[in-house]
Amino acid sequence: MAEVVLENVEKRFGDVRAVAGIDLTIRDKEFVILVGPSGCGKTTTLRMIAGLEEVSGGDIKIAGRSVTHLPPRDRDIAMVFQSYALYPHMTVAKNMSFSLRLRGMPRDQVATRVRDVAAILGLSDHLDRKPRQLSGGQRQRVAVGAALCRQAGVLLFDEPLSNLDAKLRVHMRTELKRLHQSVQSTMVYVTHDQVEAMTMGDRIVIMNAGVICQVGTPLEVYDRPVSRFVAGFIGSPPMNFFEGELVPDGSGVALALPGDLRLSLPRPELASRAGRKVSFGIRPEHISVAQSGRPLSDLAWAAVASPARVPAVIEVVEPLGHRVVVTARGEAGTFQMETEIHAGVRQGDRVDLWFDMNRAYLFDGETEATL
Amino acid sequence: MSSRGSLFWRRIRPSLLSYAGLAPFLAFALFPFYWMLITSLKADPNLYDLKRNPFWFSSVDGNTHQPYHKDIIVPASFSEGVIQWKVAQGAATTRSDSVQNPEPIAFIGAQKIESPVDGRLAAIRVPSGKIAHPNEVIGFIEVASPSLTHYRYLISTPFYRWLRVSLVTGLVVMLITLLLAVPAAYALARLDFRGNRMLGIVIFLTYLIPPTILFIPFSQFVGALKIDNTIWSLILTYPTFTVPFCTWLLMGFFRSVPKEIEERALLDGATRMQILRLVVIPVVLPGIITAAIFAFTLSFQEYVYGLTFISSTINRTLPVGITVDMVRGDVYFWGPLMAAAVLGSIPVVIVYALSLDYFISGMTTGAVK
Repeated sequence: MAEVVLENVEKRFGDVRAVAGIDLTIRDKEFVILVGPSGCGKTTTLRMIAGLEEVSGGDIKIAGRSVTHLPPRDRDIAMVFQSYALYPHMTVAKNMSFSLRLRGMPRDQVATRVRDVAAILGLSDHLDRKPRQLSGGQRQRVAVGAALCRQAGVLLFDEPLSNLDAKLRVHMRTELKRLHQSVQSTMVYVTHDQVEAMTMGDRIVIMNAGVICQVGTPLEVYDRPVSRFVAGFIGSPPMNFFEGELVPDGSGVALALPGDLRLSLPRPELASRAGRKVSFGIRPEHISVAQSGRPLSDLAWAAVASPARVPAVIEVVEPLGHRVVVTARGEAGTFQMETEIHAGVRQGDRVDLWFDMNRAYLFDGETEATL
Repeated sequence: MSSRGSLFWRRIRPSLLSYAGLAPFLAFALFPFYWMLITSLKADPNLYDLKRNPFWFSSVDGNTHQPYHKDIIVPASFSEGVIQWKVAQGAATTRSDSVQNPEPIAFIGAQKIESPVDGRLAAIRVPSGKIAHPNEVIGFIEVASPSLTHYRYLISTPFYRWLRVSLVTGLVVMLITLLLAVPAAYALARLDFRGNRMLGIVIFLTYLIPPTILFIPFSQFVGALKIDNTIWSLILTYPTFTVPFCTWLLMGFFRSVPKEIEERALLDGATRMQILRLVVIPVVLPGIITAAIFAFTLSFQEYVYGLTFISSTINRTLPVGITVDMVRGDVYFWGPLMAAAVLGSIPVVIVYALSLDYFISGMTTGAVK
């Protein structure tokens, strides 16, 4: 059992509150991702769990025991650093077994443990090398291996993939996820990359300016973001936002956007809010191309109940393979959409775009909370 | 053959420009060493022969175009008598001042004639059995250049004693310096405490005060402790400049150790002392060796304290001993002086050669990223 509980945890650097009193429960054997823009407090939070940063207020419990004032070595944790932090003068085997040797584990047990972990990570042939003789990806795996050797209840990762090239990063993402299923440790993983967060985590904790914005599974935070910040942070390419106003529309309510654009909303419950300023958000994949007024057979557009027509000019077309990211400009502003490569849009085309209003998000103009 | 030659040429050519650029610097830097070496190997007549190329040896006199030679003259204080040669014509002779009990090359009665220089008995004017008179030239010795005569002469001086004093002082000071500077530099570089920066600056300031000012108060201390004229006066005063210097040098090295390594060691369960011993010191080993070499060379070459605190010839350090004993008044004994300088620089060369690998090894590469 290695449940990690943060209770009103706070970190101040002088007058700056880096972490402003957060509550979070990370369940045993869970893979939780702390994600947010740089300076949001996610690394500070991780370092407080590790014991490398003193806690200014609140309490941290690991496996039901308060560790707030315990030194790092008494917390049953291991950590993988962004820069790998390998000991340059030790071989891979010595790097991985350092903590075990410090604990006075018998030599044969240490050797067995190192061999097992090296086999999992594909490092068996490199055990006698020094870190400088390894490639970036191998060093990264040694860092992970050193953490695994501890068999600690909690594994902490501080942006471990950010120094790898794009291809290796995708590969290691899968590796780490597979590893989590086999090692049965609680994992807390910090990243600024929302793709890593979406693909790896059981749950995602989205942080901004020292507070937690939302905690949920990847699909929860993707489908039901609680605020404009979360909606804009999760998803790639990011969600499009337009500033507008809710206006009455018969019995229901419509959205008035700049350029005399009125989109009717399938949200009759918002009728009472007519007149409010709102942000309108729609993801690129929920916009479709139509030429000569006829929606193309993109996505399951047949099932779309309330498409809204928006005329626009295609500015940039970026093919990604079978999909293409299109930047378009309408009266309401510039936005991005994602469509099939065969949709046949070209730069400069004047087209009608269809917004799937069932998948549209509205955020309060002041609080930025999801409506 | 030609293909091999061209391969060699192809490998050399890209660096040719660098060599061309380095050559003047090398010539400039190495010339004093060359001059020292060649002077130490020249026999005296060659050394003071102004007609010859001073950059190389010669065994022929520039004025007379004869081989350099030294007359063997019967001292004026001797009384005349029958001469008996002890060495044959053409045999090597050894200068009398380089050995304890020199073998005479000839006897006049019971009076000993000794060889004034290292060389070869080239001619005998007054053969054995004939009468030799005071002030008479009885033969001459041909002097070869280059020769090791000046090095042989050093045996008769306290040179090796001075060398030992310098070596012992250098090594002990080096040890004291490391014991003090390593923890100090680590504390100043890594630990967070009040006055950290201030203390670092103060340590550096003490290094800036020149020894030529400090030796006056220091000589009072040394006198009060009654350690003047002993090696202890140097062992206690040299750290006053080696410790600040090495502390600052090491602070830079400790700062270059990635903080994450220490943090990881902390998570791995190491105590502060274990981190220092098992992680930090091995990583900054090149820096520590560099500091050790500086501590050694700084004390090995120190002059002012060595000159003022040590008064007896026998306890002097090498630089002081050489310059005080081999310069008498305004007479410079250039040959022995340079021979002593050559021998004195050998320990430093050895120390540097042994640690060159550490100097240039990139130990920290691979630690992060």
